[in-house]
This record gives sequence, structure tokens and C-alpha cells, in this order.
Amino acid sequence: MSALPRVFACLLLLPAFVSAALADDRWQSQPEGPVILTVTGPLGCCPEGVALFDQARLDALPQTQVKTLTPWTEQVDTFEGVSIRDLLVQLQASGRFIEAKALNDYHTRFEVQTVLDYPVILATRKNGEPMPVRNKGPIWIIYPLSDFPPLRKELHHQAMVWQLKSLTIVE
Amino acid sequence: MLRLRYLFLTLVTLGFAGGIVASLVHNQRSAEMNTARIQLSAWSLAQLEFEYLRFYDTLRLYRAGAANAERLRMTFDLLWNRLDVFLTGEENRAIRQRFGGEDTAKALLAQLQADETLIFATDLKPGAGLDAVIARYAGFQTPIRDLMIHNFTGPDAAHIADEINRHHYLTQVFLLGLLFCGGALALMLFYEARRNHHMARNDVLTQLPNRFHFKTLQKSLSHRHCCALAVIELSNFRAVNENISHDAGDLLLTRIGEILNSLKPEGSFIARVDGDEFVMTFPDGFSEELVKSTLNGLAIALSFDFQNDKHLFQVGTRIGLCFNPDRAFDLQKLYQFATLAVREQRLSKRNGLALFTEEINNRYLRSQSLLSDLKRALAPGSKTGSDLLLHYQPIVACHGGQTGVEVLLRWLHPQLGYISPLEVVELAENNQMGPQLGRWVLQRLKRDLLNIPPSVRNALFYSVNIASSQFTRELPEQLRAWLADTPIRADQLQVEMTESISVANFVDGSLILRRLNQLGIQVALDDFGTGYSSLSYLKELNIQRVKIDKSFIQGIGRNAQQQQVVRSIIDLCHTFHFKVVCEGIEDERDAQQVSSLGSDFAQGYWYGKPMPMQALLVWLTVAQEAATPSYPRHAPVEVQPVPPVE
Repeated sequence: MSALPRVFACLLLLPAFVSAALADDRWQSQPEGPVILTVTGPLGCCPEGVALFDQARLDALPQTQVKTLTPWTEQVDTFEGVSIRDLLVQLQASGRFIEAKALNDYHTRFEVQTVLDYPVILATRKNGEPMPVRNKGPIWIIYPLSDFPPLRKELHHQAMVWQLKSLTIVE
Repeated sequence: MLRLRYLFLTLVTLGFAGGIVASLVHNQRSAEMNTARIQLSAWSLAQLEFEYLRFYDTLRLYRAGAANAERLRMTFDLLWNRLDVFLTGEENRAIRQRFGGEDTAKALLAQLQADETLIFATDLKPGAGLDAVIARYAGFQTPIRDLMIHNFTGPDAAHIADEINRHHYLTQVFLLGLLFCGGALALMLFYEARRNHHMARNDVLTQLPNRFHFKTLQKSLSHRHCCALAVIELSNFRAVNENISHDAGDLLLTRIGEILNSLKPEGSFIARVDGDEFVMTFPDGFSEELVKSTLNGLAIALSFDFQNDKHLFQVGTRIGLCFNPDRAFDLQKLYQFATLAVREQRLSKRNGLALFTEEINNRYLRSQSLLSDLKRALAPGSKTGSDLLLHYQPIVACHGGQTGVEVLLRWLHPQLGYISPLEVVELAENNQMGPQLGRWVLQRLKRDLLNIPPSVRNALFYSVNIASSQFTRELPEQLRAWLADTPIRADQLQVEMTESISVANFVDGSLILRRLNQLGIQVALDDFGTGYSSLSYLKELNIQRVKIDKSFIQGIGRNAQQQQVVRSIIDLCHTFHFKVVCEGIEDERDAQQVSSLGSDFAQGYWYGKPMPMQALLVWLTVAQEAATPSYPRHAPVEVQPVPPVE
């Protein structure tokens, strides 16, 4: 786990020189399906600083599974989606904070370090099923509360944004 | 008092524990209520109302053509989600259970579910067709608003607020209680510590400082300020303790403590350093006369009769005093010297004041030196032919009968010369070596007996002195075992003991004497006439012989009154069927006199001094050659010089 921040830091140093070479339209171009997530900020992959995701693009990223109970559910459910850490690595993002915004304009800010330390995911499936807006979909930031007792705090509860629509990486 | 203290301690501790539990409970409840009422509920209700209004407004805007269907459906979904969140999970449990929140939210969700098809229909059109739908949702405006209002205002909310305040108040009260209990505990701890400190340094009974305190003082007090130190000892205290009761002993001590406290001179320090031993110091400025008169007064004050229903005890006081004329001695030394002075008093059974002198010290040093030599002489590995040995003094029958010998201890010390048997016995008795000395005597007697011809050995009886420390329930068994291993019969063995030994432990004494008699061993009462000479004891004791003390005998040939007394004693003893031995016969007149007075046996220098076994054999031969059948005779030849008795 401790090695990861260093890897991540190295990646953060790379963009200035290699971004042009690596830059492609994988994330910047309009996806085929409706955009469900917009990531903005200093992204190594995307010189314009905007990455767009539809369901297919999110599904194409490495998937992480988290089984947990939350203050808003009544049994342990299996959530699945890309971990924020993997997403940041893919996007070659650099920054210390992430601002998350929901469809209902709820927004919050949390530290990048937390998602590097714990497998926090952008859940797009609950118990194998896509999540509708009515049930906290299409994206719900899930912290592995059941596996990591230190995360069971109001600070992290507030960062578990449902109906997520955008992430902004900030210094 | 102790029970009360424990009760108080228990109450305070219970109060403490109760206070902690109550505070925790109230604090927890208060926190729960606060959380439910303020933080999460406020957020949750605000979100519910907000999402509801957004949907409701969007629905009306759509009807008017000012919003699109996508927007309408999004707000529909968001409201649905919010209701789902409100109705599920732990976070909103408290708030949805109050003021009918759950019912309202369920009704609204049911309405959304009912209208889902309509809202998501592809042919959904703005216009008046939606008025009925708008009216259905308008109905929720008031209940949701009320939910908000009731949660934060109104009697129920106020009740919660008051409850919170009440819990806060109770928490404060309990915390104050805890503070009080904590304070009380600390106070008790302080008093207990002070009490323990006091108890550690003071005697409970007499309220005087104890040995520990005195020892502390020895280290701290400069001896320059102490002109004299006295050790005060009670005589007879042990007798009170053992014969009346320990309570009586305690009462006696309390009384002594009161007397000492009341007579304590200004600036003096008094401590109880042992069971019946007290120490008293005199500060600078006390003249020797004043010290002595004070202590003499004290000795008088501390001599009284102590009585209960049955017993009367004369409590006396021995005081050992040591002056510190040049302030050369420290307290420890003074205490040691005064102890020696009082020790002399004790050993010589005197009461009153004794001043420490150089002679006392010398005597003490001598006794210590003797003691270590005695220990060496009595040690199991001690070589034979040491200076400790046995002498035998004949006991002759006046009117025919068996001749016997009294077995006597002799110690010719290499440096100190002849040591009196009395001193040896006393030394052993005072240093818990009595039983060891007794065993040594029996061992040596056995050895001597094995070295004489059986014809002589079988003809005599042997009278062995028993010291008080030997006079225990083990004595009969010890003698039985000894006899089994020794070539004489039980009826040849006699034990001699003084009255005081058997009287001191009368109940056990009778038992021991009875056992000895059962074994066939005879018992002789030594030094009769000098002790209690109680007729009732004489009647009860299982003895066979009485030895009249030599103080009654010496010079009896010339003293008619003495003759009268001895005759009475002999008659009395014969009435009890005791045989009588007269001791201390030193000339022929005395010998004839006691014989004519009816004494059964006689013993003294006239017949023979204590002598070694070999000399005794010679004496016996000479006695046999002289005309039988009856003694007395002239004094036999001096077979070996024996140092005079001190």
C-alpha cells in the first residue's frame, strides 16, 4: 500500500513530457452511450482536463468488488465498480483532493490519500445489477466500511456520494 | 466504629459506581436525542422537503411548458431515491419513527409508484391534463412541512428539548455527586493513611509510641539530649494474661498506659517496646536524684493488686536505669544497658529500681561467655571428658533401706573455675537450653551407669533433678525411652522437682506426675518448706517423697524449735504417706537428730559430698565395710576434693 503513493507520484511527474504521446481520445471524446460521469482537473491523459465516461467506458476499467453494510442499507450488499485509485492511475491524474458532485447537486470534498489507502470504488452495480437513479445510481461512491472499521466515521459517510455525476481533481 | 467505616466506604463506593453508570446512561441518551433531533434529522428532513419541492415545482413547470420531460423524470427519480433513503437503514431510523414521518414518506412513495407509468409514458404532454397529478402531490406539502415543524418546534419537540435539558441537568448532578464521592474517598484515604501511620507508630492499647517509633527515634534523636533511659518491665503480666485472660491482660496494659501517660515527665518519651516492657527517656536537665525519685514513684504507682472474680495477682514493676553522664551513649546503647539492669532484676526475681553498673555489664558478659561455652559443651559432637560432668551425692536410709544418690551437675570451667550448678541450670533455663541440658544429664548418667559393676548399679536408686522447662507432657515418654535403653529399673529412678515447677502448671503437672508414677518412677518434692508449701497442693500432687530444705536442718541438733518444726513436717508427710529426706546434714548431732525425728532418709556432707562415680564406688565400699545395718556413720574418707558450693 505504501508503495502506491510513490508510484502514483511518479506517474504524476510524467504527464508534462509524455502526455502528448499518450494522449488519445479514449477518455476525452464523447462516448457512445449517455455520459454518466465527468472527471475534470489536471489529467495526464487528457490535455483538456476533462474525461467523459459512459457505462461502457466504466465497465472497461478494472473492476473491484466491495461487500459492505452502509448506514442507508439493511444488509451486506456486494458493490462492484472501478476503484477510484485505478481510475486516477488510468487518467494520470494529479491532485490532493477530489470534489464529488451528485445529480441533486449535493457535493463534498475528500482527500486523495484516503482512496489510495483504501479500496474506495465508484460502484455501478449492486449485487450484480446496475443501479437506477431511484436506488442511488447510476454511480455510488462506496467505502469498504465493513472491512475497515477506521472508515466508520461521519467524515467518510459524508463522502459516500450517491447519484454521482462528476469528479473534480484539485490541488 | 470499624463497621461504620466500612459501611461508609461501601456507600461511597456504591455512590461512585452508581454516579458513573447514571452519568454514562444520561449522557448517552442525551447524545442520542441530540443527534436524532438536530444533526441527522435536520439534514434528512431538509433533503426530503427539498427533493419533494423540486419535483413538485418541476411538475408544475412542465405543465406550464417551462421544463422538459427529462428534467421532470430526473426530479421524479431523485425524490424516489430520497424516499428510499428515508425509509431504509439505520441513519434515519429515529427520525422516521417520530411524528408519523414513516407514514407520510410511504404514502408519497406509493404515490410515485402509482404515477410512474404516467410520468415515464412516451406520450406525456404538458397541459391541464396534469392538474389532477399536481393536485395529488400538492396534498403532501402540508404533512411534509408539519413533519419539519413538529420535529423542531411544538410541544413534542419542546418535550424532547426539555428531556435533553433534564438529562443534562441530571448528568451534572451525578457528576457533582461523583465529585463529592471522589472527595469523600480522598478524605477517607487521607484519614486512613494518617490512622495507619499513627497505628504503625503507636500502640493501640496504651496509646503510647511503639517499638517502631522508638527505633525511629533512636536514629533521629540526638543522644546528647537524653540524660537517662529506663526500661520498665511488669512482673506477673504473663501470669495475668495466661491465668485470667488476654482481655484482662489488655485491661492491665491499658491501665499501665494511663498511669505512665499521667506520670510522664515534661519532655520525656515513653514507648511500649514489647509485651510488658516500656522505655522512658529523660531529657537534659533532670538531675540523677530527680530521675531516681520519679522512677521510684513510678515503681510504686505500677505495683498494685489486679483482681478478677477468682484470681488476685500482685503486679509489680522492675525498672532498669542507665544514666548518660557524659552524653557518651546513644539511645541504642542506653537501652541495651538499661535492659541488662532490668534483666538482673528479673533473673533474681526482684522488683523495683536497678541502676546499670559496670558489674552488671561484667556479669552479663560472663553469662554470655558461659552460655557460649555451655552450648559448646552440650553440643552433640562435644568430646567426652569435657569440663561439664556429673557428681553423685549419697542419700542414705536412716532406718534401713535402699541407699541412693542424687545426680548433680558439675562444671569446672577452664577459665572461670567452678560454676555453681544453680547458675548452670539458670543459664540454660533463661536461654531456652533447659531441655537440652536435661537430655545431656540423662545421657551422661547412662554412660556412667554402664561403667559401674551391675551389683552396685542395681543396689542404688538415682534421683535426677528436673528443671521447669523439662516438666512437660513429653517428660514421661522421654524417661520411658531412656529407661528402655539404660540398665536400671524404673523403680530405681526418681525425679526431683521444686514445688514451683508443678504448681505453675498444676493441671498438666498432676497428669505428668501420674504418668511418671504409672511408669514406676518416683517423684520427690525438692526444697520443701521454702516455697508455697501449700497443704492442698501437697495432698493433690502425686509425689512419693519430700525433701526438707537444708535451711530447716542445719544446726537442728542444737535448736529445739527447729526440731519441733521438722518433726511436724515429718509427721505431716507421713500422714500423707510420703517418705521424708532431710538435706544438709553436716555433723553427727544433726544426723542423729533427724533420724530420731523419724526422717526416712538423710543427705549431706556428713555422709558424703557430691563426688564422681569412681569416688562413689569407693565410698560405697567403705560404707559397706563399716557396720551395717544402719546409718548414720562418720563422714567417709575424702575421696576427691570437690570445690565448695558458692
